[in-house]
Amino acid sequence: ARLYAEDPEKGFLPSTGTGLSFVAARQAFQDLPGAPEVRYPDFAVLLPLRESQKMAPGVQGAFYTIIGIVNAGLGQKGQKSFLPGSEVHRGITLHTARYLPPTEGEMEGRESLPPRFNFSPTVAVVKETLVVGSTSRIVKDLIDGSGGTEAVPAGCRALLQLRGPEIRRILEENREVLVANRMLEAGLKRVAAEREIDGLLALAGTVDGIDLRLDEGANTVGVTLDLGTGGAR
Amino acid sequence: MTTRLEPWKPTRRDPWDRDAAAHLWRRAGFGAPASRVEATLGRTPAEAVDRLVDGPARDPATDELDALWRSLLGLESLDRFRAWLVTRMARCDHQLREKMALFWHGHFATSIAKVREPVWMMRQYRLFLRHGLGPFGRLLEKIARDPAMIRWLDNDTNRKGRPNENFARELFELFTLGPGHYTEHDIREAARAFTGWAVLRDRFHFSPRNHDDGPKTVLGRTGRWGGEDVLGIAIEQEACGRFLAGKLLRFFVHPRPPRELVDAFGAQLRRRGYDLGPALRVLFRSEAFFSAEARRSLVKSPLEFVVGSLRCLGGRPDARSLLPALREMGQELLAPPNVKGWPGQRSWIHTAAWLARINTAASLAGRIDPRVEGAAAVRRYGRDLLGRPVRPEVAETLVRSGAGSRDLVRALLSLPECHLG
Repeated sequence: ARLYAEDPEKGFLPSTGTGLSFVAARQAFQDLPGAPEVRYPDFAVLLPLRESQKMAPGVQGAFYTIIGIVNAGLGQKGQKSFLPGSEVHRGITLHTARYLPPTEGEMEGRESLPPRFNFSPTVAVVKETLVVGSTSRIVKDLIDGSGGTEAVPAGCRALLQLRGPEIRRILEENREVLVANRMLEAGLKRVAAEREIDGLLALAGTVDGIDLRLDEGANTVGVTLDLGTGGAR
Repeated sequence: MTTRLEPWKPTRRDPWDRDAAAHLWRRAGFGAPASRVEATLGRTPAEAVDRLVDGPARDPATDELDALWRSLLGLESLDRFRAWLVTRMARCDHQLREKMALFWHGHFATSIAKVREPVWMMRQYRLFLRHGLGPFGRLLEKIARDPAMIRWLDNDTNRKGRPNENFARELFELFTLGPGHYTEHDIREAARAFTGWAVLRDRFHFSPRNHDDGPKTVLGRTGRWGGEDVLGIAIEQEACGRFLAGKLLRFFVHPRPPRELVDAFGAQLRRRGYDLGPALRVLFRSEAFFSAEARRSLVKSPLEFVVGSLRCLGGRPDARSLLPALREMGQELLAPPNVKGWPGQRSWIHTAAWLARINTAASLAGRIDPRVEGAAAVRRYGRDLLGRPVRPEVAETLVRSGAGSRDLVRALLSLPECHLG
């Protein structure tokens, strides 16, 4: 999924450009020894920078400061905290925060990782763009040029793109969690909860994709909705 | 009140009827709809008790809910776990297992507020589900090693040369003997026995380096006691039998059980090695349990009120939506108010809690079939909720009001007798 928005007058922050992108994708967890029970999508925010070289050290400092503050809060609540670090991918430095592996005691009786392993916050300055990702994997994928960063057509002020197959896969991977939720929230027996969730999955399967665009011309504003279902658009 | 533990023998004046069967279901479980109560009358009281103590050979609801355990661990969500527990209480057929787990949760009261590890709390409650009807000694050993309990009572800071007495004190005062049956010296010595009992990497860990293995004198016995030895010494005391008997009687039978009954049941517990299943079988079959003084003598806890109403009215137990109401009524699972658990009885009924009960009554009443109206609704739901017909003057008032069936049920749920178990 992708959401793009532009403020052609000023930009969202003084030091940033005029367009902001939000990208989400299914997480594959290939960097982890397993996957959490509930699998959130990866997501990242892309913000063009006006003077990326000057801003890079500030970005690094701000990121580690924020991680430090978050860790202090987690520590006060007795929760596991992040381990800050960095790595280089294709010549670009990624500033990362990861959880240490779970203990044997924590994993006793369970096959899936704790939910916190959905997140390994990462920031990087990639050419003239600040990339803030929920995981280091999505930041690496964006550096590798896969998905979500295609140029936006001229005049486009906002763009929302949703890809049905990806959404369906995310829902399928979380099917057991969704079924459990319905059983506990609505008091359904398993058969009824599965029927509901499978209905939702079937519905998601009928949508190939949704593109919603807001274009601005000299004297016009246009909204376009492009809905693809079952191979047709 | 009779103090006799001999098996109750129904008579014409004191029959095995709907009221008696409903009383058994309310106490040994969370209540049952009229159809289940009727079915119970097809058995003798002893058979009905056996069914509740032993549980069914197979229960699809339990299997279905047990299968969610791995997901619950994976989610680490306390509210989903609470909803799971409430759903179990409403749906599972081995009602006494769920009720005893709730009893132990109040007895070994441990709160997420200090423990702060949802998975530890979930695992602790699961100990109560698995071992709640077995030997008390085994449950006590498992709880003493439980990470949530160790953190709750600060035993992870209990070290040789710097003992922390919290766990030892509560072990004697709240878990086994009760006040007045130990001295401060016993507490200090017992604390030394539990030194080195800690949590490492989310598991129980015994550290010999931090353990004081010197001689200790606890409750008159001297030796190089470790923690397990002190647990055994505590259970050997006669006071343990009476203390546990008192708590169980106040939970299942009467808020002020006579001393003779406490002594008699305490002796039963000790005779059976504190094996709870067989001991409760004796209790639930007894004259004391079925006595007139015992019936409707206990104020229902919020869980008993909500779950009992759900079971009686039918409909889906949408447990997660009921959690805020339970919190307002004063009973939030996994967060008892202090080490003593929930005091219960009159403490459940104060202005704010009563208001929460009335509001919840409206929500519960929304689940019924609105096509059953008027006198038929009062008869049917009154019988389901109270276990016996509504008093004639109350029934007449309700029917004359002309209220719809859901309002009638809400009124029934607001009757004081609906809050007595």
